[in-house]
Amino acid sequence: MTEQKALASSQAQNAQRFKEARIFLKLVVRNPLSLIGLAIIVVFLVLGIIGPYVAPYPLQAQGAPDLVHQLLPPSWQFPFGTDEFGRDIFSRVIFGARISLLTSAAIVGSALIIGVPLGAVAGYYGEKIGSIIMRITDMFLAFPPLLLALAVAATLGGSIINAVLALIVTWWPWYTRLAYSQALATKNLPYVDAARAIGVGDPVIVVRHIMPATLAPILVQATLDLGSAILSVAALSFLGLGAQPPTPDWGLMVNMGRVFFLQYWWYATFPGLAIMVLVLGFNLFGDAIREAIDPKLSRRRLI
Amino acid sequence: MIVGVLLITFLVSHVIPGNPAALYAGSHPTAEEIQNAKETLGLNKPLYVQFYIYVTDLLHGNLGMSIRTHNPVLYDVGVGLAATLELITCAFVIAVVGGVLVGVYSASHRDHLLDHFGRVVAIIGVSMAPFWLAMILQIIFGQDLGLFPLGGRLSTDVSIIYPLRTITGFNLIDSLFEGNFIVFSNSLWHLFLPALALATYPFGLTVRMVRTMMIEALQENYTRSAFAWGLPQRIILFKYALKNAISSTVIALGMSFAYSLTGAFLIEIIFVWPGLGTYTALSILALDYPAIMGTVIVVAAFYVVINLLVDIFQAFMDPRVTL
Repeated sequence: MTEQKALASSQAQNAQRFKEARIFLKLVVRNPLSLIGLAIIVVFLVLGIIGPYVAPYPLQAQGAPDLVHQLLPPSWQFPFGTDEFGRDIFSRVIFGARISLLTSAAIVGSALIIGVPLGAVAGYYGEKIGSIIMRITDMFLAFPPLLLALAVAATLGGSIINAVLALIVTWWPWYTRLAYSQALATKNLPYVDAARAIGVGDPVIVVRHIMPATLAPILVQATLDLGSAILSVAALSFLGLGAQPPTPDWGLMVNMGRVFFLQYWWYATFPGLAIMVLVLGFNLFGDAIREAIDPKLSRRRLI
Repeated sequence: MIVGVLLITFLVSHVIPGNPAALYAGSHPTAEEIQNAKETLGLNKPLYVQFYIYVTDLLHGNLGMSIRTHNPVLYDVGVGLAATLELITCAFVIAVVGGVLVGVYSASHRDHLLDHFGRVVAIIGVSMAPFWLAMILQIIFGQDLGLFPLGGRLSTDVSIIYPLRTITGFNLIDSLFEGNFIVFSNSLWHLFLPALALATYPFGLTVRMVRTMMIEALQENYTRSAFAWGLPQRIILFKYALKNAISSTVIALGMSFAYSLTGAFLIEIIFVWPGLGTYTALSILALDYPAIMGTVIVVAAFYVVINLLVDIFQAFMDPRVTL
């Protein structure tokens, strides 16, 4: 009898969830800007996957010089022009998509894995453990964005892996703080109390009940951060602390093009444009999800 | 917080198995040279001793010697800081004044054409790499249209004819002290493009935050009754609604400042602005490790102080916030 009841209630719950998911989808789809954002992300994802097979000059994209065609303006043969080694910038920009997507996913993903559990633990246990974790977090947050990453990357020496490491080191505290405030808000809700009352252990509560509750706002932030991570990697590369030549990294290409920029505008313009469009995609999509999730914003805006 | 900053910078520079010693020993060092460098830098002592030395040095204002310029790092940083602050302040004013105005306008004219336009500008503003935007502005307004100088802080002829006495290090203020309007306008003219490039990201940020908060504040009952009472819109917007949105506005200001600070590192290079960013970039190229870490410490400490001021200001403006 009780089992049946439980089954029925879980079915009702599933139906409810399904309905919520449909509303959510509708909200995301109904907002045309989010579709544009999604389309941009998908295009770059596809480029990141099949890029090496569709780029017109894959060898040049990886660094092989072609000294006959140095610094040519955009043409049908070279849609984005060529650089000082005669390499096709279009191919290099296509190759750069994979690098940008992988680095930003690695940064945000690792920061989530480190930051969210710490924040959930700090929020749930509170008191000593919580305040120790949050003190450490605050120390990291006392630095202006990018500055600490710059110091770490400079210490490790310039390479794309080190730039990613440096950004992970400086990125996780933001998620810890977000998860912490969410955990504080949920830890005294009735369902958590109920779980505690029937004797569920604290670690299980943190993993099964606290962390999922922190997820929604954190996912929004993560989507937006995928864009910021791309900008940060580009900034480190621009300072010479990220990818090293001849990697077709967008930030590095802008940096290399800087010397030639006033005579050869296309060199730095197109890689920078690629950065902008992809980051714009993440920002548009992240905004749409935020509006869909935040009940205060969405009900008024979209329904 | 400053202690935290010191602790982290210490850990970064002393514990990460990086190459400060190798850098110090010069190019292509032998194992022995690295060992010697470690001893000179004190990297072979126990960690707590190293930390003690590190902190006492800092408290004496000793950030080490720059390998590239052979000046004490503190001196170099002091010279660059004024130029950077001048740039940041201008960018910050543009971003905040523009951002708040556009944000308030957008929120009160929701879904009008200008609202959409403002939001598009704002979201593109936070999607661009600031150094790339700086280059685009430089080539369009500096080179093609010739409206603004390509870089630098003062024109060479102006700085030769009117040598400026350094009082505060801010060209704009120093020239006003001396009543020298030619230098003043020339500085302003040089400031415009870099400040604009630097302001774009924080501008976008401010617009987005202010707009969201204002929309919420405008739907509260008290603003509705204010409208019903027939109060002028300007007063409702700026006196009542913005006051409630002030908390997030101040946060937006703090973030704007933070982004101006780090953005300056990237934009100064493009415009050859003789500030901390250019200094750091050159230090990175020359692998001048003491200079890089010294700059990081000074800027981070500065940022902590600014953050404290922001918190105090916020508590002052918004009685719901307690420190």
